[in-house]
Amino acid sequence: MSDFNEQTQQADMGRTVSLSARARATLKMATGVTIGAIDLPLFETDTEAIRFACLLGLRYHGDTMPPLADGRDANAQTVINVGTLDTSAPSFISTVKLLAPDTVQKERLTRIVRAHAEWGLAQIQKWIEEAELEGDDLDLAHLVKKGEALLDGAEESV
Amino acid sequence: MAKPSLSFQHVTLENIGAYFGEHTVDFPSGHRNMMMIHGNNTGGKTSFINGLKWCLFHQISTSHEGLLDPFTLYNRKALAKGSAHPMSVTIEAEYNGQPIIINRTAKWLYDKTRPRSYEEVATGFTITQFDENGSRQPLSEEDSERFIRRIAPPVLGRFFLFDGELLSEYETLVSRSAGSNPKLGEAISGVLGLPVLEKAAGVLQAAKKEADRKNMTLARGESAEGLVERIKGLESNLERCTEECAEIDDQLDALGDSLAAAEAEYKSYAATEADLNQISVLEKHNADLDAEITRNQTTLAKASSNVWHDLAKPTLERQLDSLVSKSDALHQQSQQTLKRDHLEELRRALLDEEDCPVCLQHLKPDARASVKSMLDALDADREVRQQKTDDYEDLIAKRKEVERLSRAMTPIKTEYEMRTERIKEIVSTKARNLSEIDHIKSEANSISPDVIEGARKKVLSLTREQAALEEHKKTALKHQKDLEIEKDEQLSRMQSTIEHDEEAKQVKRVLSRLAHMESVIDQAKNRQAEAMRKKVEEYTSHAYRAMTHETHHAAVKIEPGTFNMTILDDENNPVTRPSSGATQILALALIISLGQIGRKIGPLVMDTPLGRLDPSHRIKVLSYLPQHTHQVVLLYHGGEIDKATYERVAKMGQIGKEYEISKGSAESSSRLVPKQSAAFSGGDDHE
Repeated sequence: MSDFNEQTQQADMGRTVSLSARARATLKMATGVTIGAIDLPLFETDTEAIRFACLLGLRYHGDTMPPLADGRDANAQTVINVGTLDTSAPSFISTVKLLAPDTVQKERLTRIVRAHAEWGLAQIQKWIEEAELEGDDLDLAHLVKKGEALLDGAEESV
Repeated sequence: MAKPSLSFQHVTLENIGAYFGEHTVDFPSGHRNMMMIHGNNTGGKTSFINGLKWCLFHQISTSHEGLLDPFTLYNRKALAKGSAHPMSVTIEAEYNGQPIIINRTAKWLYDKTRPRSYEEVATGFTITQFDENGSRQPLSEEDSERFIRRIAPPVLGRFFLFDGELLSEYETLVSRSAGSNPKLGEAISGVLGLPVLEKAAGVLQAAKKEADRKNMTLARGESAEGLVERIKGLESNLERCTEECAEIDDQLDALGDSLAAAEAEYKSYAATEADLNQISVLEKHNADLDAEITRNQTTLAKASSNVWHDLAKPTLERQLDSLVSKSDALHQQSQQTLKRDHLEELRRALLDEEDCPVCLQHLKPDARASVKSMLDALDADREVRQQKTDDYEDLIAKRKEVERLSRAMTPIKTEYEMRTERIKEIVSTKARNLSEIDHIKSEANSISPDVIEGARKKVLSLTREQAALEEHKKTALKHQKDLEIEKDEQLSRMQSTIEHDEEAKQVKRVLSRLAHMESVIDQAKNRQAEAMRKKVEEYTSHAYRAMTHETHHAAVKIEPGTFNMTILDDENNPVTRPSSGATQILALALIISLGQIGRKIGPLVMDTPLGRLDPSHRIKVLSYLPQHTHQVVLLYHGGEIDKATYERVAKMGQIGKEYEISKGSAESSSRLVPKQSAAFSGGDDHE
């Protein structure tokens, strides 16, 4: 492990990530409800859902912090330790730091992760609701495609 | 049947006894059948009769000496003369009307050596017969001996060729006190033919012994009755076996019906069973599909942990591209800096030295000033250049980090889509299978698999039972076949045994017949012996009465077996002390009767038989003999027949031939000289 990763991880270890009630509800749905033919929930664990949602927000917003919706802080509850997100290679934290180097300099890592995860989960919630409404299948491949489509438009506009 | 008879025609003696050289005697025939040969003592009468005995029997029996050595019969003069003078007797005769020549000869064994015993002479015996054309047919010596033994056995010799002294033997049969003469009894039996029955009895005994032996051999065999019992047992077993086979057939029939019904029932379930099998296949397929779905789901579930890579990797790659561009640009700038650093070193070295270190030319002052100005400018830009170098190194570090992370990213979308599609296909297939299963079930009847399985098991069970029964039947049939084979064998043995028993029965029948024949022969023998005895008794009585002048002697009684004779008077009382003459007459009567009743082997040749008789007896004997024998030769001397007796006999007309044995004082040999008939040649003293 590089000195960079080691330093960042040591600095952020022991800190927890909190999520709003809505994000937690989405998290619960994404990990517990089967949508589609394959009879599998979208994510097997909260960790996987938070990583995906965080990356989705990070990609969408770039090296900037997304705005938090009103009232989300008041109902926020600790969901996961930030170190849990980085238990397997490649390093999730290192990736976040590479993708948002400026923001990392300004904000705490947990806050960056929470902000992007809240945004990403909200997007996932939206897609779930659309799929349920349309009766379409929705699995991770769909999520990736939808995310790529979303990001392509956003990045082109950027 | 006519008794076989041997009639002599000519007898030639050569060097026999008293006769040196050849001497032929012609025998009488027809009505005048009596030949009288007169000779004095030592004249050659006994030689004549012994010559005949030697010729016929090859032995010479006498009353006192037993058998006389034949070599003593060889004429001494002939022996002295040499080997050219053999001893021989030739009898020309008729046997059963056919001519026959009997010849016995004794020659020297060694021509130059005079024989001293009978072993030193070579004897030969020949019987010559004649065929229809009159050709001679001599028999071999062996055949000749066999032939002569058959027609003239030695035992008969004493009855036809006897001298007067033999009468004493017959007298023993008359004298009770003298006891019986077994040999004579046997001889009499032989003359009467009784030994034939004895021989037949012996043959019967041998046959009976053989039959007994055969019977014992057959008795050791297995009896047919035992085989019959064995065959009955086999037939019983065979019957049971056949019944068992029939029962098995019935069971097989019933089983076949049950099996057919079960198979029909099972066959009716075939479609249902096929449906069930199809359902089973589909269900198994679905189970496999479920397993595959599970495997895919597990894979997908594991893959979901990397789904953030799908979002991170593209942006990292774009970032890497940007970093590579920047770093390449910085690297180019760095290379230019290195060049400048090198030039700076050269310039500083140029300022330090008066000559150029490269071209070794002397540096001019204006050039030196210019170099110094350039070096000062470089010193002023040194911090900027250092900053750029640091930035480049940071950029490289970040580039490496991005590159490492990007390389480690494993997006899942493609595989996820593929597996998701596969799961969808599987789910679709599974759904079709379920639909087909539902369709089959809806189309199938309501028969449960248990019922079908029960029917299948029933068919299987019945098939096994049928196979077992067929195997049982096969065994029973084999047993049946074995029994039949054994029965056939036993039948064959029984047949053999029956034949065997038939043989045994036949042997028993033979034994029974032999026993019966033995009894018959015994009876016949007894009857014949008795009949012959009575006949001999009757004939002897007749002859005795004819020849004796004892008028009160009425009959002769002969004891059975012993042939002891008793003279009975006219009151049927035995004459206890008959006279010697009566005894001799009785013996002659017996001989004559035996000759008449028994076998006839030739002429009755009697050597001085009348010695003890008085003239009246002699007349009677001489008149009786030729009337009751077919040939009679009487060798007599002057003391036996006087002139008156001779004339009386001659008047009877019975004398056919007469010879005189002549032995002159000057001659060393006797001669047989024929006489004119009725010419008395006896001595004067008998007148």
